[in-house]
Amino acid sequence: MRKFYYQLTFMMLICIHSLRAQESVSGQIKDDLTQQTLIGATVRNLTLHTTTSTNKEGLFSIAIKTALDTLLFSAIGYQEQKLTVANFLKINHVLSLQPINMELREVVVSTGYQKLSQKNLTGAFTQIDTTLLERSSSPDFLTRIDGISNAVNFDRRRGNDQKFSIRGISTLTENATAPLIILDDFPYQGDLRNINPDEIASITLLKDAAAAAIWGVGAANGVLVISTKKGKLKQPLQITYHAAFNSTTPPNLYQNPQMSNVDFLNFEEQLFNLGYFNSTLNNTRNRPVVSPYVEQLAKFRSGLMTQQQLADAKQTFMNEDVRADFEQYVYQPAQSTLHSLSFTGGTSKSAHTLNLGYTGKQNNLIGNGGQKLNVHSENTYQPFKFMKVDLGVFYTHSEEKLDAEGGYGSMISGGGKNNLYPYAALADGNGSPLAIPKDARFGYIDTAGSGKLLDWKYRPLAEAALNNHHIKSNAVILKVGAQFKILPSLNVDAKYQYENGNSQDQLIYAKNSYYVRNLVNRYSTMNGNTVVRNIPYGAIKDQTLSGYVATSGRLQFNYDHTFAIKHHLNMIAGAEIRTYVNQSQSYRYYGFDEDILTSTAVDYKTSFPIYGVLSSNSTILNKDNNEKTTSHNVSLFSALYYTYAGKYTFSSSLRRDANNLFGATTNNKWQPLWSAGFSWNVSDENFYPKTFPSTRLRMSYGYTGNVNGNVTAYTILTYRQAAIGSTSLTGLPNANITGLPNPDLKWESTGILNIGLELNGKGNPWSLSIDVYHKNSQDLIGLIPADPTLGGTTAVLANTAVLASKGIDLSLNYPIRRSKIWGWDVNFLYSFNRNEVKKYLYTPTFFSSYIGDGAIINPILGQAAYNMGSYTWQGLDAQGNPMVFINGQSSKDYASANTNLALRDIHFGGSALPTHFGAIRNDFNWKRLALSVNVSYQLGYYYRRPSINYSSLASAWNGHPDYANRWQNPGDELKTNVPSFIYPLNSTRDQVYSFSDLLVEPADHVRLKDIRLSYTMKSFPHFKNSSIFLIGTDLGLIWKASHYPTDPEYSATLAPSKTISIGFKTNIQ
Amino acid sequence: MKNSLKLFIAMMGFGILSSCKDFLEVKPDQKLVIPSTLNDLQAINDAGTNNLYPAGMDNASDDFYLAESNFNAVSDLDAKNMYKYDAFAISDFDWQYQYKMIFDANVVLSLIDDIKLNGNSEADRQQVRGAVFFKRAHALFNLLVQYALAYDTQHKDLPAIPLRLNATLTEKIERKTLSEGFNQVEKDLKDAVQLLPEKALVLTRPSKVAALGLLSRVYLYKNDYQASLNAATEALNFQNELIDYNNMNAAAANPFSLFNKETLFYGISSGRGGLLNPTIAWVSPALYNTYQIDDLRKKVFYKTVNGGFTFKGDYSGKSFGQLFHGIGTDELYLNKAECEARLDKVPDAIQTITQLLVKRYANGKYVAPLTTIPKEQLVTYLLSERRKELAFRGMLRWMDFKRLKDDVNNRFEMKRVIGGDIFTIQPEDLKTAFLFPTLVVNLSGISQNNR
Repeated sequence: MRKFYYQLTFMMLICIHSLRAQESVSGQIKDDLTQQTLIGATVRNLTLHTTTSTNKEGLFSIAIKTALDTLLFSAIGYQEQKLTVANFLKINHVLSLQPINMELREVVVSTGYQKLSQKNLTGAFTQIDTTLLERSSSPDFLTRIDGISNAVNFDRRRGNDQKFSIRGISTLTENATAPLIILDDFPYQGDLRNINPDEIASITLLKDAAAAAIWGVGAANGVLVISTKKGKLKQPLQITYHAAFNSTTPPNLYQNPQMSNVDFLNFEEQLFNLGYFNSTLNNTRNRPVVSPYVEQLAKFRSGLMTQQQLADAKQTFMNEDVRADFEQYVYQPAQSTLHSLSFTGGTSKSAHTLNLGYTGKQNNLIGNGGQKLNVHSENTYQPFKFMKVDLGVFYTHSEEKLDAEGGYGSMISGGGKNNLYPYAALADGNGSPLAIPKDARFGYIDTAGSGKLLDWKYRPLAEAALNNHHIKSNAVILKVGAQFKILPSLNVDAKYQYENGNSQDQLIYAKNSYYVRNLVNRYSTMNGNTVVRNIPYGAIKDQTLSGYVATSGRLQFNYDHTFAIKHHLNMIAGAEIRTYVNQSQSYRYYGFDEDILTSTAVDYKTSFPIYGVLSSNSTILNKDNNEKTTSHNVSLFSALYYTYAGKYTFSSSLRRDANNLFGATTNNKWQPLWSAGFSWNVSDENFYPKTFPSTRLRMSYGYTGNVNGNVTAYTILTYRQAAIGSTSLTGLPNANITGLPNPDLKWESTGILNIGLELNGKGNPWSLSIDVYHKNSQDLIGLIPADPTLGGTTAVLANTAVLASKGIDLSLNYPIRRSKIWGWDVNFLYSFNRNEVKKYLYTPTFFSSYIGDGAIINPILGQAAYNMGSYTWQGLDAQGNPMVFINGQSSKDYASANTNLALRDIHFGGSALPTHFGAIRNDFNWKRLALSVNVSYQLGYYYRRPSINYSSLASAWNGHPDYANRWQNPGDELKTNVPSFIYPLNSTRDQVYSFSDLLVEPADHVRLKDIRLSYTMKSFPHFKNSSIFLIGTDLGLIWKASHYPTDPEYSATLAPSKTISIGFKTNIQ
Repeated sequence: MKNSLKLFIAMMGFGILSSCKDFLEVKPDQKLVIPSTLNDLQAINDAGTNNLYPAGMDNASDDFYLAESNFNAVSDLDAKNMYKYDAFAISDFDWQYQYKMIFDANVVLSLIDDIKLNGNSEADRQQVRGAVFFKRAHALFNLLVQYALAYDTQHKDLPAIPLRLNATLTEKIERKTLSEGFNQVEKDLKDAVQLLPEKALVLTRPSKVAALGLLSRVYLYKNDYQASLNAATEALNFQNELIDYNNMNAAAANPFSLFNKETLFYGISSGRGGLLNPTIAWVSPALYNTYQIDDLRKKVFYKTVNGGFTFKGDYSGKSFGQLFHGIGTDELYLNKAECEARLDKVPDAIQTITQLLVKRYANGKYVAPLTTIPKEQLVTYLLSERRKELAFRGMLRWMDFKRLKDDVNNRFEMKRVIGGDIFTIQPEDLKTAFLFPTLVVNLSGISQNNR
């Protein structure tokens, strides 16, 4: 109220002043976005050539001659604006300047509950604005945030591009590590790829307790808030069009060297002669797959071919390279086209925005691709000063086509083989598809059924055309919000959101597809000379329909008031309710006819004999399944910001959640998650030298939670098949207690201490922000040894484990040069994050379960969550046998390697995820040309390089070129560490080598993430800020610590190839 | 959506979180079954715990022996220790499984009063309750025989095993005395007798007769002959059917069918350790040689293989080394006869045993003792008949071994010969009470059995 009077008085003064003298005009300058007053803005009277600047309240007064004088308003970081005095008077003496550079202007961050000015923040926030998001033209926003923000790290070791963390992990449960994603106001439940990056105005990362604790039990893994673009009041219609075309070259299949064909064929020959394949070749039950060369060797041994024929066959195989076939027939360049059109504008009482987005793509596997349509509209109506209504709609339609049989490494032979032999030929010289062995060996399927069965060959290249797999999905979000000003300082906000997503996953195997032919043959029986088919010979259709509905409602009171000029208080309090229901149903039709939509009933009850006794009698696979999960959440929350004299800010938040996953004990306890923070604008103190950079200190402490859905509070039963059989003697329904009741089950909670320092240069607008944090994640769900007396089991999951992490986030923006002609800005991002399991009560029976490659969380006391436990390598002995520590001794007692391994025998190699990471970006501009180069780095972690594993080579065709370096003759142990080949094969011997610390490599590397070149065109009438750009992404490694060829970031998959994008963007007014 | 909106408004209106109690008790995953109806509780009772009865006491039974090479080939170290009466033999699984049965029972008991009947009757609820009492008593009794010393006046007030009577996982456990343990077993069984129907729908569910039968076994172990006799008599009044072995195909691989008509309650051992697997478990000659020529059991129960004998006459209806652990009418006849003899009712005892044995001997070949036989002699005779009838019957050899500790005429020691080594056990040895699992001692802090 006081402020209001103050303003009113001021307005009156201006008027009086103007009326009486006419020799000067006064007014105020504000930031258009935040409506904060601008201090030190310049006002020039171009007619009188006089200049003044605004004071602490953003006020100025300047001499004028007449109302026709032209005034020029400018401020660093804002677009200057010219106005005649008359026009300035028309806008009531208050002018809002448009910010031009996000880094300079007052940043407003959104927590999803409130918008906060960066000037008073106590917590650790990172804001990613449109300029940064538009550096990339990738169709999904997650890829775009990689490398442009600190604290964010992507785990792509297994090719998953959606797995990321903010400040590392805060749990020990692998599938509970995902950060919380907020779309505008509420948690987003849909597919992250459905969000059109062009409709995002900014992304805010909430990293510490003061920032994230307002999200309570969902916030421990960090919160990512997406704010979408909104129209503004009194804004003329603006149309933005953005188009881009991305093209990615097919993956380089030669990036990881492959065992040579000669070695592979000789190895098979050697095994054959040793009799390794005898039992397989004599197997008349399931007829396991053998390679074509082994088939030839078997033929030769039975006298069915000559020595010369065998040698010719071997020569043919030697010249084949399956990778060449993959390159020619399986892969294509991945391409995507993006179009995005947005309309935004507003009248004095309403504001609107409409975004339309279209993405069309083909994937790098021939037969895969898709398209996506986004419609997003936001509307604000302000019929009265005290009332505002928001209406928003998101709609996404996407279609994905997945006909391909799989790429290199995922197209496999089956029948015991999880790979392909390196000399497989997928097509003949004319490009016609060739058969490769699958599920059962050639020698069998060639003759089985003496011509009465269906063709049993698998020709992978022919299959893509016979599969019809597509996923169609629709998602819609409807948002309604209303805000009422009850008192000048108090308003109430009600929001409701309805989110619904549906998807239909449909896979039709054509009648003549291998899948159908194989299944029909297996379920065929010979009745004399006729074939009885227990599965109808026709197409098979698998369908999964899934959908979710999420509803959220919130009532929130916002209070914002300044007392006695120096005391500013901002408070929110409210309640929220959320529901999320996810349902799916799947089913299969046999004998499906696509034309007339009929199917044939099959007998699911009878256990049919499988043709040729390839396996024991089996029932026909029934894919009927229904799933439903429900999450209910109720929360109360409040947050308070108190600022004294613009210098000291104290913040606190309090949130209490109740959830249908937690136990009654937890829901009934009044145990909120809270945070407290403090910030100090040091440079505003009188003692602070004015020439020094402006300085802010922040400090916060508080708790965030994590909901771990793997455990429930209730006694859980699992019903078992109620048929008389091995599990039930009576056929009565019977159920086991599979989940022990845990009424004390609660969320996992993470206490975070964060200390931050922000420095901003004066004159030269550089900025530096450093945050140091310590996280203590406690009550984590972990295994604990259980007294079997209590529940009949020896280990249970309970809130017991502790994980501690510490880290640093640093970001530095330094303009090396900014002039009218050219500029050079450097942006440096650095994050450090390291964790350690501080408490874990369960130890396994055998320590060998501590050996691993850090692919998933393996909680071990005193180690990182993603650790790399290895056998301690002791070299090769004189016969080429690998030696490792077993029970303190250098040993080759492989039989006891698993049972006798002591904890001290294991060498823990450190973290399997980066502990130091970040990026260095250089932005150059020269006139209208801009060049941005981003180099990212990931340091301080390890990966396990692959090497030869003879058992795996023999049984699954997993070869490795280290085979050529194996120990072969006495004395080789001095030259090589690759164990000798021995027969019979010993898989534990292979394992101690494969999982020894010898093969642990530093994964440190520096990568040329992307280069962006853009040209901004001269403004044409109606066309402003038009630009064209060219982007190169994933341009390759610049440096890596290990000299082995694997790209460490993609250690268990193929590294992506270069992507080249071109695009165009314009604003139409 | 409508509901949540309504609730939202309600919550906003009153600001009372307690009004969302139902909202917060929605099942997170529809596939999770949180027990809520009597049928769910019945399904818990019908789960596969019927094959979790202890194997340890059978591993220690001298009804069988292992050839040295077969003993050496056994991989389960604990089972081997039990076999050779090692003082430090531990059976983790027997403990775990019996307490699992007790826990399941406690879970059912904790829910049964508030459960929805959903079309079932109050009588059905009482049946489920009765079944749970039976199962808890059965598991508890097994534990008392395996992990505590024989029941006598000297031992009965010593700490025995923990009693678990509720489903709280955080309960602090402590050892209760032997008599407290038996009081609980008797109480549960008496309740079960009251609640259970005479006959159950299937034999994997307990019935009144089964509860009486178990009660008779429990009293016999405590050497309370009158009580054992009463229970056996009452049970036999309901069900006294016997199979006449004269009508059986003695050559059959599995002569007894599943749920044969002498079965009062069906259960089998977990078979942990695999020692009783008929491929390696040879019948002890001392046992085999006691069967007379006209004794049909010699052929029905046993099969000659490679100069040895293996057991095939299991009442479980199969012979995979998981011995029958239930209760049969034959056992009740034997309980009854022995108690009658011990209570000086010699003619009654002879009558009872004759009823059984005429069905075990070739027609007309059974010769009953004369009524003039001295009581002590009759008891010894009945015990030898008991051994022949109840050979390879889960836990009974071990139970008899312990309960006959103070019966100077009939007490026995058990002995193993492995290679040149001889291992023995006496019924008063401390090692007749198995060690508690190490994990239990470490986690709960209860004291270990003495050695």
